Amino acid sequence: MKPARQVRSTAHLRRLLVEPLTRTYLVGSERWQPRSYQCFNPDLKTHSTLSADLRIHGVKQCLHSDPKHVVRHKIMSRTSHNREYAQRLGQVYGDDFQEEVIFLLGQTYTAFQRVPQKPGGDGGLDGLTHDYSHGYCIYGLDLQPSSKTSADELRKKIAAKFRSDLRSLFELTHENNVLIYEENKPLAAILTAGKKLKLIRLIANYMEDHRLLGDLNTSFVEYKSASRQKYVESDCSFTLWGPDDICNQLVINDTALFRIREPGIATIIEEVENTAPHELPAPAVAIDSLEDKLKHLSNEAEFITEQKEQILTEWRRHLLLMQKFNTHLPDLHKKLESLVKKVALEATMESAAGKNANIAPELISQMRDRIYQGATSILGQVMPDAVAHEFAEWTVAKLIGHCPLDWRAKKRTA
Amino acid sequence: MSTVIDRLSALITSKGLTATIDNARVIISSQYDIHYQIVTMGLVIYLFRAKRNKTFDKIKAINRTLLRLVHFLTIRPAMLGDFKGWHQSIAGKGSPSLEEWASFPSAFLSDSAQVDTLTLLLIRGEIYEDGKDILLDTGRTNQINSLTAFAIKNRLFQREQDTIAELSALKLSASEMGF
Repeated sequence: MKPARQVRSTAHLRRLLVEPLTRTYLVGSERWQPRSYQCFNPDLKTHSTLSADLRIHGVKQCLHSDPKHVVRHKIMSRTSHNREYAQRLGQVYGDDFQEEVIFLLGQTYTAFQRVPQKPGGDGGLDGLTHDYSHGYCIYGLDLQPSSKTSADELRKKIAAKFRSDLRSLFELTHENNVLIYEENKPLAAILTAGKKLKLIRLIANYMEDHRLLGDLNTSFVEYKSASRQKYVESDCSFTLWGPDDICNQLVINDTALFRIREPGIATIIEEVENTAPHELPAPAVAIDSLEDKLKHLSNEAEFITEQKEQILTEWRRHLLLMQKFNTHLPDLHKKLESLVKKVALEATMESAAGKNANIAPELISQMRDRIYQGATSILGQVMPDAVAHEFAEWTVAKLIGHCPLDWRAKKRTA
Repeated sequence: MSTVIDRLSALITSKGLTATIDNARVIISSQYDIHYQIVTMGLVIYLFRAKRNKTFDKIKAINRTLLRLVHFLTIRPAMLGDFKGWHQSIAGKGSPSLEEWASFPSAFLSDSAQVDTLTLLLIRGEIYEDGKDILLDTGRTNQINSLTAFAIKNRLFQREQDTIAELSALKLSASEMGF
């Protein structure tokens, strides 16, 4: 390993981060191990992978401020976060487990493709990456303690499920204990243009028994030799992953951790984000003043219409989010309502104190930032930045639409 | 990537305008108004088949958890349809299955505004606790009685009163709900 390099400042760190990193860094007294790190370059519209590890508080903010490199993922270090994630993921089962793994694969591989069930099944595949050459079979079995969840029973269940998936991919079925060819019609519609699998990843929420590898390897070799190999390469191989392997191989960022820690809140936020604008609730108050406010900023009809639509959509998303919080998480709703009132009161007091000095020309963005900080502190560190930013953005849109925030009254004095 | 708020903020500054905030117009949900909480709590106790104490006919009593559930739904009438669906699905089955409980509005248990209101009324001596029940003496002069009587007489909070009537028609009982 190369000797550790001293990091002098966050700006220095930022410069180092755009280098290919293969060494250990020293930030203060802390040793800093490089890990995979994805960045998005808005100028080139390309994704790139940087090696980094974000154990140091503030690195993310530092990178955010660099216009050339907007951070796409905050990678958790191999610390308690990963262990916690692996533990929690091991307790998720059924469709929920599949959804979480698919989410992680989508976070890690930009070209990840989920395989839908309809029509007629998924052909034994749940996802594809690497130009359709890597296939994923995911199985989250129920681990509720019972006689059916002893180590031997779990081994049998996992082996049986993945053997069934492998037979589908190799186009085989059992008849009188003999493997015979059976066409896989869904796969024919998925792996077109001569695409073949080189690697099959079998992913389960339990992988504590090494005998499973032998069980599956025996079957894999048997199936491969009996198969016509229409959708698998002759040198195709397989791997078996459990929760720990998932955490080691895939990107576990703050959004992933949030989803698994707070599934209720994450589901609500996802629902609100994915609701089509025309399905959002309408404000109960008149919106005429919103257009009037925008006229003070520009005379262009196109500008006014566009901004009005955007503010209205964000305002309506805020309404839907708060309705859902009020129904499912009343205590959180109460805290967020109090937060907005508190921020507004603080801003009013500060405006009054500095009335003659005109200290708040950027009041709107200041309020947004304060609501963001408050939302982050209400949910501790579990709420991802993007979610807290979204909430703050929607809340300020509501305040503009609802009229407490205004800019029509007066011009700033010199 | 700049957001709509960033763009507006930049435009306001470039036009030499000053944004102002009118705190008085920042209205938080009316369900956090203490008088609204008290009057809706009173309406539930008065109108939701509250059983009368045999000895003292002016005393109304209701199971504390049932009161919290009915009050939670009363101030969130949009949830009534789902709740009625849930109630219908378990009707006649005795005890609901684990899956059926998943659609139950269990969020009422974490409504701290409601708990705070009940605590305030208990401290003031306007309501009493008797085992699992909350008791209200309707013959006494106090805030909850005067606000509730005024609301009923003047047909205020009609939507809330209608919701209570619909919930009352479901004949919910504390034992059926496991309270």
